[in-house]
Amino acid sequence: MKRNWHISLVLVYLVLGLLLATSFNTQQKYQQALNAPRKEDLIRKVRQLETDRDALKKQIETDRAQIQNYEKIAAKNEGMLSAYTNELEQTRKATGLVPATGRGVIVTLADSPQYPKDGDPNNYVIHDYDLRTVVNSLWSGGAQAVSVNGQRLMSLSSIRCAGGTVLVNSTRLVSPFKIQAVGDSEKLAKALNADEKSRQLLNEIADYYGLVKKIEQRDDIVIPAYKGGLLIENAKVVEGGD
Amino acid sequence: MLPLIGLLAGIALGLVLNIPIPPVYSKYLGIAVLAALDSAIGGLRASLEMKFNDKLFFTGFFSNTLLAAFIVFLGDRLGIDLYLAAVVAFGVRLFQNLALVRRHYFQKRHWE
Repeated sequence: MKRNWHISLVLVYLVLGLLLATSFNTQQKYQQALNAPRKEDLIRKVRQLETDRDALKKQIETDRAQIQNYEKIAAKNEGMLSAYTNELEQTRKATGLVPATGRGVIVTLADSPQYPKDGDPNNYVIHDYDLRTVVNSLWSGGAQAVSVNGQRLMSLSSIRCAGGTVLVNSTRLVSPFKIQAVGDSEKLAKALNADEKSRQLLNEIADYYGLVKKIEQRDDIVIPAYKGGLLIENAKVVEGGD
Repeated sequence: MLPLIGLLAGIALGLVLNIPIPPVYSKYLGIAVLAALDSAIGGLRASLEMKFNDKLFFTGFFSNTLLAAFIVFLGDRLGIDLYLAAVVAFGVRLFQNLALVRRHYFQKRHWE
C-alpha cells in the first residue's frame, strides 16, 4: 500500500515537472516573440535580401558566362561576318545606296540658246530620250555609277518625259543636265562616240541645233547615293535560285 | 524523496523535449500546471495525514484537470475569462493544502 501511493505520487510529480518545464519554455518563446517582433522582422528582411542578392549574383555570373559564350561564338563567326560585310558593302555600291567617287566623265547638255530657225522647236531642247542615249552609252562604256543632276541611277530608276521637264527618280529635272559617270574615263569618252545614236546627238545634232554640250574627263567625280524609297513588294526572292 | 526525483525528472524531460505549444493554448497549459500542482500538494497532504487513496488521488488529478480545461474552453467560447474561476479555485486549494501540510509538520513536532 505504501509503495502504491509512492508510485502514483511520483507519476503526478513527473507530470507536474513536465508541464512546468513545457510551460516555462512556451512562455519564454512567447516573450521573445513579443519583445522582438521588429528585430525578427528585420532579421527576416536581411536574410531575404541576402538571399535575393545571392540569387542576383548568381544571375550575373550566368549572364557573364553567357556573354562570354556569345563572344566566343562571335569571334568564331568573325571571319564569316567580315565576308558578309564585304558582300554587303559591294551590294550597296552596286545598288547605288552609297555615294561613289573616282575618276570618270561629266557630260553637260543644255537646251539651245538659239531661236528656232526652222522646223520643230522640239529639236532645240534636250529630251528624256537624249539623256537615255547618253546614259546608255556611258553604261556600255563600263560606268560603275551614273547620276543625272545629282539623281543617282539605280536598278529602279527611269528617265522619262514629264511635260517640260524630265523625271528621274520621281524628281523633276530641267536643263542644263549634268550627267556624271564614274569609271574608266578614257573608255567612257570612247563609248560616247562608239554608240551611233550618242555620236550623232553629241556631234551632228548638237552642232546643227546649237545645243550646249560639254564633255570633260575628271579625277574627282562624286556621285551621291540614291535617297529614294526602296519599296519592293511584288518581286520575291527566288529561293535557292541564281 | 521519490516524488522529488519524479519532479526533477519531469522538469528535465520537459526541458529536453521542448514540446512546442502554440500561444493560443498557453492558457490551457497554465491551468494544467495549476491542476497538477494542486494534486501534488493535495497528495502530499493526504499522505502526511495517512489518508492517501490511490484511486481518489488519480481520478481527482484527471477530473480536476479536465474540468479546468473545459472551463477554459467555455470561457474562450463565451468571451468571458472563466479560466479565472479555475485559477482561483486551484489557488485557494493550493494555499489551504500548503497550510495543512505546514500544520501537520508542526503538530508532529509538537507530539514528539
